[in-house]
Amino acid sequence: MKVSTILEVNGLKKYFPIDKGMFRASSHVVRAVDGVDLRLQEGRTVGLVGESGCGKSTVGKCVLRLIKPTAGEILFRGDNILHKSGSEMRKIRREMQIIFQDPFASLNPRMTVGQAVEESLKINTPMKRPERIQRVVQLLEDVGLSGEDFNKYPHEFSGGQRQRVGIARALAVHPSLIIADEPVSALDVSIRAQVLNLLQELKERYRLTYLFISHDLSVVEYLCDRVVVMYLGKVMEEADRADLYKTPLHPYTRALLSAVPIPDPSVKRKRIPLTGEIPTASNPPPGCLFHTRCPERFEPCDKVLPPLFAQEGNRVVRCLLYQ
Amino acid sequence: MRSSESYLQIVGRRFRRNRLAVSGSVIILLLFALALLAPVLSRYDPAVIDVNNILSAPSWEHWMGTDESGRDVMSRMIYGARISMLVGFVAVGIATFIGILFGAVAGYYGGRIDAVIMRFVDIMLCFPTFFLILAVIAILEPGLMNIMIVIGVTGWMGVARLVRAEFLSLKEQEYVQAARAFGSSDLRIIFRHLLPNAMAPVLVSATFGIAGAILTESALSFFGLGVQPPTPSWGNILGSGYKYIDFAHWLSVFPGLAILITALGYNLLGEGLRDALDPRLEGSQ
Repeated sequence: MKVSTILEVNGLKKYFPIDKGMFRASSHVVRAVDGVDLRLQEGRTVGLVGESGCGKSTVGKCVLRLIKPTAGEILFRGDNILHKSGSEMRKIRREMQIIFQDPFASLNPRMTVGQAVEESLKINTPMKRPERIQRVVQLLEDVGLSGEDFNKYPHEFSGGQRQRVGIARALAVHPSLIIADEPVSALDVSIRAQVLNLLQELKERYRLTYLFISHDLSVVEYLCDRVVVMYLGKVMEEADRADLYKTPLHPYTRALLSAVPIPDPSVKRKRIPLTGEIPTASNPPPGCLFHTRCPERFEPCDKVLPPLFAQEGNRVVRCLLYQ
Repeated sequence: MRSSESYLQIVGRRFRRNRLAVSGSVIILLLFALALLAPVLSRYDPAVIDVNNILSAPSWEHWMGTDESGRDVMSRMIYGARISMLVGFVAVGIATFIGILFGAVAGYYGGRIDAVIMRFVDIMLCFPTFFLILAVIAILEPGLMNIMIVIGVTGWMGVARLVRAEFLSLKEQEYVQAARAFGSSDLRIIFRHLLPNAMAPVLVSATFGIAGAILTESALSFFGLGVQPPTPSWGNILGSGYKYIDFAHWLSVFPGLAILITALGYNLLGEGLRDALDPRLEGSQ
């Protein structure tokens, strides 16, 4: 089966200026995202992982143009969307939707969940009211809620149920790409699996492509076909899921994986503790961004920023060990 | 979690538990009834002059006495309630409308637009409002319409600041980003998502604003720059009656009391609303 590329991100940069008061021009910037490339194949799930503050959510919001990128290209089905006008962008947004992290902040408290899901149909389709209601009920049922929930307000639901409403809202316009920004991080562990299974099921039913943003490596392993590891706004390693989890190459990836708990007390594993704090993106270290915490750093690491080295098996890694 | 209770029901319950707030709303409801039923409740035509009954003291015939032209003070007071209610609502309506407009634009678009609007607000706030109103009224004709407009046009800055502040924090909420992600227009985001969530403090400030507008109208009418006789307003009854305070105190006492009670009623209502709508008190008994 031939797969087509649905989303391609090239050299994406987002610098946030640090304001130093009203009268001084901001001289300093935070490099939240600093040259990220991504490629999403239709029907697959790419995981974007990293510690908090590494710029992974910013990438997701730039793709939807919720944030305006500083530089780079975002090609949706081969078409650069960064210079689209408002009305053209509105058409493209029907194809791309987002699921947010916090189910308590992502629903308007003054709208019933039915209204919340219906709103995007109202904007994006010529459907009449009875038709829309029918579709909303269908969507609510698709995500495991009931049509009777139409007239309830968000505060009447639990976190997991609200997240399902958020998913129904994203699905309403028949998108082909969904950016899931930490969709289960705010949920109880007991609810997480249900929502993950729902996402998996919906992906198959509607032939969705996911960009799955998460800091939780076990969740990513469960859901993703390919994994991109970010650190301080840059991609550190990218590989197919099986390869990455079996043989992580970058010392950072290895450290992250060693921190994932294994639900089997008999398995002994050596943890690779990371020392030191994550440096701030407003003042990144010279050389390799990770060298300040890397257990395997050697001579030129603090001077040379390594490029992404291509490795066997369609993977890349940003580390001088693999030169 | 009280699951089946809507936000408004929670607010309603908290409001009803506040005795002062309830008495405030009772006062205001009574005043409304008075204003609406004025022709039924007043026993005399407020404009009819009775030269045989000048400055007579309160009695069974005239509960609040008569004025210097022999008109029944009680009937004039009842019709005056109409003026006060009208001025309060229309002036505050104008102020709230302008304030929401400027505040929403400043808060939503931010940047240079915000800076320009908020500096304009600062400039407006530098004028001593009452003297500004006096100056404008002196240029325009004094009259009911003009004072409502002038009070409204000089009273919107607080609302603008409130709405702007609410919008600044609300527009970062994820549901606003979600609305943007499925292609909502700016207008839709402002009116469907931001404004309904920003209305609580606006409502509270509007309630206090009504008390202020009624006081301003009374003061202007007292000085003869507001509602023009023969139309009765509490301010102009007081303004023409205070000259006789030595021997006809009822011409000053009753309108004074009415103004006091009305302002008190709105302030109690406003404070009750503020407490009931305060999300930090969520769940408190």
